[in-house]
Amino acid sequence: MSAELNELVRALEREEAAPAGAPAARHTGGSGVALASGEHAGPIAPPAAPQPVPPAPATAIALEAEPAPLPAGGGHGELQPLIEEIAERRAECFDSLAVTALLESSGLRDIDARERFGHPDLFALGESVLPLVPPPSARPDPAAGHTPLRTLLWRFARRYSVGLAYMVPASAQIVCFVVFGYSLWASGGFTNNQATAVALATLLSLLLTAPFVQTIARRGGYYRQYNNAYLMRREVQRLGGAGILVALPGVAAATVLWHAAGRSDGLLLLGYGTLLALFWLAVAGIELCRLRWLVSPVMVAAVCLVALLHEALGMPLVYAQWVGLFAVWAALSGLTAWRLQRWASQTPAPLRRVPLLRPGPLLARTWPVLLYGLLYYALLFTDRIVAWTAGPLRGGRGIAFRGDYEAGLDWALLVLLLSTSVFEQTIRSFGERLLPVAAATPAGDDAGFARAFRKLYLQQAALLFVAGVASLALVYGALAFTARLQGAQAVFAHPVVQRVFLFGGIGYLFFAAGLFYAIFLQSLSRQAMVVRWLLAGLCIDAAVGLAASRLFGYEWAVLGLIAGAAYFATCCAIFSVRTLRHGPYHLAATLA
Amino acid sequence: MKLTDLSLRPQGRAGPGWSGPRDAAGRARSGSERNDSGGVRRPALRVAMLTEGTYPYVDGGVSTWCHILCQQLREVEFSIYAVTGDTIAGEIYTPTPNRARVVQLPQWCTEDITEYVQPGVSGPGFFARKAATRRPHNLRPFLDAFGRLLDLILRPDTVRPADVAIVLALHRWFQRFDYTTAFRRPETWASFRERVLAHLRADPQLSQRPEPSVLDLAMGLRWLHNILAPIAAPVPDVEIMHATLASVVALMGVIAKRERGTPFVLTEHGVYMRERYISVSPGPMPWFLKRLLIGLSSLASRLCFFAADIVAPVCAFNGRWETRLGVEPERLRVIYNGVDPEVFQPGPKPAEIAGRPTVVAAARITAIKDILTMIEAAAVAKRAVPQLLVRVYGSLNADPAYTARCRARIAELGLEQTFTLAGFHSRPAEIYNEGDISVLSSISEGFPYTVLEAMACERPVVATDVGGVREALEGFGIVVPPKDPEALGRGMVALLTDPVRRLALGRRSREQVMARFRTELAAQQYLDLYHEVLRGPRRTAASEPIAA
Repeated sequence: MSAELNELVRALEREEAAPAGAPAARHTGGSGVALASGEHAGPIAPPAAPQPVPPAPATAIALEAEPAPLPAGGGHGELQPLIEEIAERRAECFDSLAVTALLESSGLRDIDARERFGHPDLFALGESVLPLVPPPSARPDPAAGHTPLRTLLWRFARRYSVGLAYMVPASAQIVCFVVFGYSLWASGGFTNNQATAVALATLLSLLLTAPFVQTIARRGGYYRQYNNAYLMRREVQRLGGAGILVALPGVAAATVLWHAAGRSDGLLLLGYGTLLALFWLAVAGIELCRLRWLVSPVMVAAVCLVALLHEALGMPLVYAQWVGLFAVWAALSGLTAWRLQRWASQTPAPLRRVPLLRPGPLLARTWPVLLYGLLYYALLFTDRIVAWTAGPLRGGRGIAFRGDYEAGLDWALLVLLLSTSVFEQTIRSFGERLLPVAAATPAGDDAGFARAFRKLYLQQAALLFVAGVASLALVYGALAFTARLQGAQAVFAHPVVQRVFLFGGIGYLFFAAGLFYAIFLQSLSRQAMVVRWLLAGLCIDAAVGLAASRLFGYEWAVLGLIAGAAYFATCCAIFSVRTLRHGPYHLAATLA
Repeated sequence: MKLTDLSLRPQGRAGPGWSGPRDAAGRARSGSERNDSGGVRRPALRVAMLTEGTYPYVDGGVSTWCHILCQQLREVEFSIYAVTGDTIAGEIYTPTPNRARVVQLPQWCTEDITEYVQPGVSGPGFFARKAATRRPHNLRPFLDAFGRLLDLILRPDTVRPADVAIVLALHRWFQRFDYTTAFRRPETWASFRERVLAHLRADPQLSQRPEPSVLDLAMGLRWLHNILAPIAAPVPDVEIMHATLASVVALMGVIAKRERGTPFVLTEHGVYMRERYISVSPGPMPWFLKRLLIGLSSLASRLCFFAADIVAPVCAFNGRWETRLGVEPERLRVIYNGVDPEVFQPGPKPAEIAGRPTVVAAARITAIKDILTMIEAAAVAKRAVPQLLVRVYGSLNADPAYTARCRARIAELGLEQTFTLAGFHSRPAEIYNEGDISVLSSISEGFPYTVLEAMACERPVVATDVGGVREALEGFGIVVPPKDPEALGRGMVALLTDPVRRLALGRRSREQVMARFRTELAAQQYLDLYHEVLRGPRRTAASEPIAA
């Protein structure tokens, strides 16, 4: 969003900087406010009348120390062509020097001021012309055209489908699970201990890599915006490397703790954790290379590879999945490296000499992004950990995978994904409105600025609400229908699954609402606030979940999710309203 | 400039003909400086060269001048403080051995401008500064000084020499606190908005205009943040500050003068203030932003003119403006540009066009060079000289729309076989020897190198009477009014059809270059100027106490 906003600003600056027909400023990078000395860019004025070659001046050129007095000559009629010329250029003349400069840039000289206009020099001529130059008329605002409903719907459908595209890889996994009985890292045949290790590996890898995935997207996008693929590649390498340096020891430490707790199958935690961490980081790279569409086919191909190794060659499923995960990582990383290398080779040599931000400033700029990635998944997963550690524990283990709880929440996750698909529409609508509203609102009218956004804000909130409720109903209906077909054997027929699904769905809807407000806050550089409320929500999630699961049963850990997400959403909503009240300041702070 | 434009690495001025070591007489003379205690060579004189949008990142006349100065004055150690447009840029000139450092001060596309203007702050100190900046009592002095600066920006005609104290107060404050954080504080926005709106409402003329929008003010603050950054940079430890234009970057010279008594020399190739009027006043930019930018430029120029020990324009024409903006004649010293007559030597025309009357020009294809008038003039000249050939060497990418217009005009006039847009030429010294004469049709110039280069190659020049062109060509070429194709065409015909006059003017032109416009001469004058300001009494910019 910020990158988009930045790009919009740059476009606006470019537009404002370049008068029609005039060359762009040489080095301004968009604003056009710092021209090279001696190389100004001015539009052409109509040709002046041919003049004879002037007589040569004295050899020693005298400097004019004092401005000449206003002459008597030069009536308005004679000056009219000059006034029209300045008006044609839409020039603002705040003082007479501006007039002089403009006249000079259109080819007039002191001798012309004397011989044609009866003024001692161009400075005097400028003083005479200044009072006669009207301010340029305001450009007519483009009429706020009414967009037909059909166009709006089509636009929404297109954007919503872009949002839905994020679900495709997960959907592909589900299809593979249904077809083969296993996917790239899940299996119906795992024991509870194995499932716990693999589930922990999944959560841990997401938690450890999410900060870097988020930061890669932000920083890489920044360099992409400025066409510097060389630095983008270096930044991806730096952040990806940092992600590996954090994630792999983290997974190893978790494995040690797992063993220390007397649990078997620690190798699964280590293997899946390592490979999944690499996988998430690779997805971040491929996303940056605009090759996201490749993730699903690569994953499906990898599952086929797993099936080949497992079914045809008899390789144990775990090893086959590791090979599959490794293959996916290698393929995605290779594609990323190839694409970045290709782009980087087209980066002009001078651009490559620019150093990356030093770690200190980098951290100062990205810490909210890093924390956001971490806390986002932490809030999503905390209730699961709470549930896995609650209730009658099997065999004295501290943590045990709860299949029914997981099934309920995983299906509820579909509600979250379907709901948040509208964010593509929200982000674009907000981005499209922000600068036009700012350009149309008088600087002293904070309330007007907030008012202009209220409608959009409510529209998008309503859209999210409708999408959320519809998603919940849709997924519930689909699951209920499937359960009726399958009878009592159906997983969804289990009351715990149903309960977790419903409460989890509500929790995720709150979470989606929080994310909705967070988008708005982040677009105005309030990431730190979002992080604060995420952290608070996480604490509430853990506290409420712990209390509920210990008092009423493990499945009630889902109440923690509801409480934490609701708190997060409420705080973000309140703060969004406050931010909107001071919208002009936040816009200025974002732009500065 | 787009980032991708940087791929078009210019090679002309920075090419082999310009970057090698030199043993010119001027350098030898200046190299013979001795101290009083026994013939030991003096330590290098350290000069900070302040540039904007030019050396060493962008090609052009000003950059050529900077590079020549660095090449010629080998005993001077130059540190370059270069304001650039984008952060992401690379040098295009081969560094000379006497160049100590280049500090880039980008205005746009920066992730954190503090990285560049306050590069020494790192680690925990980086965060501590940001935190300290947020404290209200720390921010207050900044708000006071910033508010007073705003008043001056909005009323630049009220700027007095003593107002340098405000810039100095800001500079000192930024040595302790974080630059960007200060601009992002809500107090700063509130103060900025309040001051601006109060000022506009109080102004009888401006109060009639539509109130600036939220976006106007937000952009205004953004631009101030980006453009004012050089005043936050630490003062260089040098003997002389030499600015190449009177812009915000030159305020570093004003600050150094006040902080350390460092002499401040100001060279203007164009006149910065005049160029700001020309580039900012027209066009669709909101009026408030125009006002802000012009006010800021005017403030910077005026403070620089007040403070400079010597203002050294490259032609007397520029002196008209500088005098008008507050420079007394006794502080004005015209130092003309010079070219290297060893590089720009007369030579025979290429055999394939030896018998064809040929006019050459070295000019980017842009409106300011008025190539359309040159095309029209070619049509005029062709009537008298049917075999005429005109070749224009210069980038075709500077303004593609204008280039297209030129091509269309060439076709309309049926000049396809006569007028050629030949594109960028990597060896400028060869350009002029392709022609019998050279032409310049610009509507605005400072003191153009292309005229001197043609003269050095014994090619007489027909040029428009703009900027300092007359000062170079008076008696050695033909000067015509700008935007007058008839006169320009007649000038070409006059020289092409009179070989005796042409050859005589060519010879005299080179003699004139040898006598007045050699690089060594120009460099020596700058070296003399450096020593003069070091010896001379220091001009005090202002004596008001500083509040910070």
